[in-house]
Amino acid sequence: MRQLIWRNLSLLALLATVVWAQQAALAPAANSPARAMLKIPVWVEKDEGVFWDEGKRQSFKVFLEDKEVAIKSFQNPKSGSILLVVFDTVADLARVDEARSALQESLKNLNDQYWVGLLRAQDGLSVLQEPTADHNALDTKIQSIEVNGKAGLLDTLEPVSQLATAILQKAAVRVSILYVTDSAIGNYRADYLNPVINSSDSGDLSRRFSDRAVQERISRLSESLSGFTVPIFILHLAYRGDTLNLAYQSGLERIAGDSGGTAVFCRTNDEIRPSLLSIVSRIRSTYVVTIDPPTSKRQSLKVRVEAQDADGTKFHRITHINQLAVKKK
Amino acid sequence: MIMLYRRPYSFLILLVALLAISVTTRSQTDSAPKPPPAKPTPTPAANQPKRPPSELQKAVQEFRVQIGQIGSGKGQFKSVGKQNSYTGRLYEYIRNDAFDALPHEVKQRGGTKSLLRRNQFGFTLSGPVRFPWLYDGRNKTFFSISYEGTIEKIAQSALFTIPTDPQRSGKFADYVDTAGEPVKIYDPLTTRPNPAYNPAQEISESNLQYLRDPFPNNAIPENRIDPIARALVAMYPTPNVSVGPFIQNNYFINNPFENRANGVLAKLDHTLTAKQQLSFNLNLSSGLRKSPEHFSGPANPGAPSYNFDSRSAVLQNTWTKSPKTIWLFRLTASQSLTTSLEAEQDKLDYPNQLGLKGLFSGIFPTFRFGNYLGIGPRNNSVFRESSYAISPYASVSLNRKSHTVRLTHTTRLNYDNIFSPFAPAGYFTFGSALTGLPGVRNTGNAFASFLLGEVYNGEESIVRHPSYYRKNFYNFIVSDEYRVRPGLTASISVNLEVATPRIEKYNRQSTVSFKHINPANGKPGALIFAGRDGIGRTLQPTTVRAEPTFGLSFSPFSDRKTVMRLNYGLSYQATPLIGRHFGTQGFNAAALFISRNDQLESAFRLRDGVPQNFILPPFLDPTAANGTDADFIDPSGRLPVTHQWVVGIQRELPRSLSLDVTYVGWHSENLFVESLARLNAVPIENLKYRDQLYTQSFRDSLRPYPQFRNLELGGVYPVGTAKSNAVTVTLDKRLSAGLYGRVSYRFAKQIDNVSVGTPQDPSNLDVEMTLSPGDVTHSMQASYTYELPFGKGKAWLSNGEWFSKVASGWSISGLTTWRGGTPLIIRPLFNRTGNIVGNLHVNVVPGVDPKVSDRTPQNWFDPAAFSQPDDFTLGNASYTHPTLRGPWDQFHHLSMTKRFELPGDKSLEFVSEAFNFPNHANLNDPDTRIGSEENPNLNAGKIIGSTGGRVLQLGLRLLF
Repeated sequence: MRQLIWRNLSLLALLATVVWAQQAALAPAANSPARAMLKIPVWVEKDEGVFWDEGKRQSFKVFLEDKEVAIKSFQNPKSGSILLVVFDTVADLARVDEARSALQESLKNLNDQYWVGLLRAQDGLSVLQEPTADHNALDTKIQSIEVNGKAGLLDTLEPVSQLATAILQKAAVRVSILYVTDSAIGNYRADYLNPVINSSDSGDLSRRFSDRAVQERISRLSESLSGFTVPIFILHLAYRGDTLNLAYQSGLERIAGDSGGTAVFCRTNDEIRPSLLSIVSRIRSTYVVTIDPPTSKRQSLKVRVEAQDADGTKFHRITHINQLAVKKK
Repeated sequence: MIMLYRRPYSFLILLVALLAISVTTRSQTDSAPKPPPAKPTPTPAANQPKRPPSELQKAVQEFRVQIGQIGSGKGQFKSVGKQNSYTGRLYEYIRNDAFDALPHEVKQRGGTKSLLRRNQFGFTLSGPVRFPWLYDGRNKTFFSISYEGTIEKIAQSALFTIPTDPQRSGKFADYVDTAGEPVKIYDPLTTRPNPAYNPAQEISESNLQYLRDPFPNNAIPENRIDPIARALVAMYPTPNVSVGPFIQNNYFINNPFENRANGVLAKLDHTLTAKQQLSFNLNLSSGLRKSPEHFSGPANPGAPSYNFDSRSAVLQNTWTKSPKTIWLFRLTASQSLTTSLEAEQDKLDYPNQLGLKGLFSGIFPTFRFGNYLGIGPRNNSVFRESSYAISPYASVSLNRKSHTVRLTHTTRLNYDNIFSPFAPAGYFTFGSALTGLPGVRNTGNAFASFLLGEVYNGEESIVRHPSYYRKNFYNFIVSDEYRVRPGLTASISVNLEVATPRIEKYNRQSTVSFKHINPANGKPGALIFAGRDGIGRTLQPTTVRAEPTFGLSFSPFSDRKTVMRLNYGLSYQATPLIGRHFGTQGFNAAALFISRNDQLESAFRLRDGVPQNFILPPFLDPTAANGTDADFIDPSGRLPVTHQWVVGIQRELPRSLSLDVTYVGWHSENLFVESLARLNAVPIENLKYRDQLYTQSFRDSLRPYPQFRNLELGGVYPVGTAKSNAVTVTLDKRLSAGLYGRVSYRFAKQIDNVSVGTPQDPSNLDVEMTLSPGDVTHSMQASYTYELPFGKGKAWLSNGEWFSKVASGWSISGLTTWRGGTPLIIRPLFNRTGNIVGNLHVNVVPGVDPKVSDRTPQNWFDPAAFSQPDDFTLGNASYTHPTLRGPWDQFHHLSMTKRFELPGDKSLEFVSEAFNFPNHANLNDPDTRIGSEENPNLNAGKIIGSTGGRVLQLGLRLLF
């Protein structure tokens, strides 16, 4: 009997080892404890919407906690670039149609150094097209973008940023994320609307600050995204003026701004095309400067990047980088 | 293995082991993302002659690796976004008066406590639907469920006037008018014609038509007090404050209303295929709403308390036929049930306990006497209403070239079953005229008339059956958004609404028809009945209305940062499903008891019981409404129509600022009204008959349809008008440096002739077209949220252990409103117009400016600018004053939140919200009653008291 128990327990241990081994095999190599290089995307905006894209490595200086550090590698606007376009189109057929054609037009202006991947955020992240410079394939996929499902922008920002950061770390390319969305806060599956549940409490003071749930979500998301350095651009196709959507749109602007990107909100169909062109123009003018991972144990690091153009004009950007950005590889 | 099978526990161990493998493998397989495209599109390296840069190839390789890892539960991708994980929140908010400032209105009445107990709690949970080994709904089937419960008791203060202790026993020596002068009480039993009366002169104290002796010492003898009134007085409270002036406002209550509610919102959505999505929503809410008692016991005259239960369900299917064509199908069903607690009282037979004979219901009767707090429940306190609605909906949206077209159809089938008699145990009023000197104002007392049991008028509703109303709406909407050219978009929409008239399931409907002759007097106006004598089931026509809207949006400047919008819309308001028992006369009845002359004799005395000289329903006869307030259902099919136009300009400014200036104007005609239209009013020119008008038979003989008293219109007679113009300027600041907010200012004017209620002269509604009582010229609102720049990821205090944690996650939100005063309604203290003028206006005194230079609460306006109109004359001022307004209101609310990060992407939020955090007191409106020269209102133009008080709410939310 005892022997039998031992034999079965051994078998169980063996099986458990197999299970553990199987999981270990499936676990990504990305869990390596090695520290990543710190890659910082930079733009030099000479005038509103006018970017300087002729900078050379020596035009840039990087200061970490006010101390200059060496630039280990450098990508300029002529370097290869991956653009991940994520669609989150749930509400407005006309706006999305305009965005489809504007996007096709914008992408056509990108040369072969720009490889574009298409993803869909509604009802979970899915890949429509892996990065490619094949404009015919992109056109076909863009034309098939549908307007349905539940909004997914907030839910997919983190995995998309992880995806982009992994690419940025692995290859000497520039990487940007562009969300195209017409979502309202009410389009989400999660409840951000704080709706009145009981008919008797319509005058409820607890709902006076109804945008709290949105703010909380944005704050949490903002913190979790602080570990990534890939810029996020958001083209929002339909600006809305109510309190809850104001909070939502402000949150999107904050997330994009913190990442180094921008969020643009279109009030009409006609704003979609120029807004997209301005975003793409900025994406095209991206530099990436790479420095060694900082040795400081501080959680938040102050990074200052300076650029000096041919005329001697200096530009700078100060940002705070979360150490998470370099702990993950 | 065979050996293991022979030993059950061995088998069990193996089974567990196999399950472990199976579950692990399943979790790796199941949690995989929606599969990427089956065939990865070849990179340019594969299908193009160009050789891509190697770094880009490496990037694509990494993309594939990362995408393959999504959903594995390991590595950098925890899941495919958040939607496959369970998220939600758990919360509790509490309020307790121990945290709060004592409201100003309570403090001013000497109160020391204002009960406030409130608990609001609930949770929200959402995620994929999963039943282990049965169903895994990840990526396709999701649920969301929210529950919220509320238990609250919140004191609501009110100030009333009740009889003083001496008055309760008939002693009115302390009874004074608004100038503090004694008012005499007369004995109606001593009424006799004055032989010296000179009809050529107006009635006055020196030329009385009838003589009446005052009660000695202004006191009703003990033996004259009606026994039923005496029993009722025993249930009446005694004064508890002395706010005044002159014995008014001597009863202050601060009793709680109680609310217990439980509600659930449940949602389920399922992706059938990539193009078909199904969702199901369910809303449930039920509870008890208990109104504050004015005093305890069955005689409480407060609002009714009731149980409610509502539920609705929505099933929706979205079919994305193609990227440019979307179909939507929806079926909505809803039900609500409301039952008043008073409906349970019937069996107690209160009239019998009081000794009041002749009533059909056992609930407590209603007694009202002038400005005093009444005894007994409000009208319609007994009700039971059950409503159902079913609404199928279908729409298709098509995008073709420059057009986005949407076609929609909705059907709404409404069912309303109601039992709500107006006054099931009688409604009895008592006037001051019977204990006053006939023809002389400022004499007599309504409570004295009550003590004598002299009913001025009464009504008893006899409702035999609930009413089962049905009404349907059918809408067909076509809309097109057309991009005319770059920079210019036009939109057009037409809603064709077909509304069927109300029907009653058992045809228990009736109306006065002016096409039919009344057999009693041979004049037009007789009752007709649905489904009888050639009349159809419906008493109104089916209405068909087209509602067009047009819109243009364009960018006037090349920078496209400015957008202009122009919109115009025409809309109709459909006739609602008229509630209660309006339009069911003959099947139900309202027995009326009316004094033949309210200055000279009562309708009946309480001790004698309610007269029985009426015909019990059903009485399906053309004369069944004769002598009553007859129900008239308007057969014209005319509907309220509103024209609205909007001009808006939005400009994007630097620094994430956005400016919006919008003008909205609207003009409504044929608005539904009740008493504004007085179809059977005595024409105003008959004021010349002066005191003769107090004789009911004479007054009724002057009506256009003398067989009826008033014509009840169910609140849906279409003659009202309203106009509004408003400009709103809004400045939005989107987030930068942790701050976002909005400031808006509104400048508006609204006028209407609806708010007046009963007009002074029904034949001249234009006079009533004045500023709406709710009109606010200036209002401003500011809201903001600021996330403090401290702690993790912020500019300051971001490093360090404990202090970073303490400093992180703080945010402040605020909401401040300033609202201008509303127009004052100046009213005369007396209305001696023979009961034919409903809402008498005051007179304007020429040359006297009502505005005062040094305005204070004690001197808000100059009452000398107005005067009481003479008896039997109309006032010349407008209903609302064009320039005098009440004080401004301010509301300041503040919320502070601290978020604590917890392991596993969870957080805990502590919320502290202060409503009216500066404890600001908003002044009440001034007393606007204008007395006569002889009997002035010394309080006119003065503000007494203020309201408001800081309320604190604390909350805890766990978010996961």
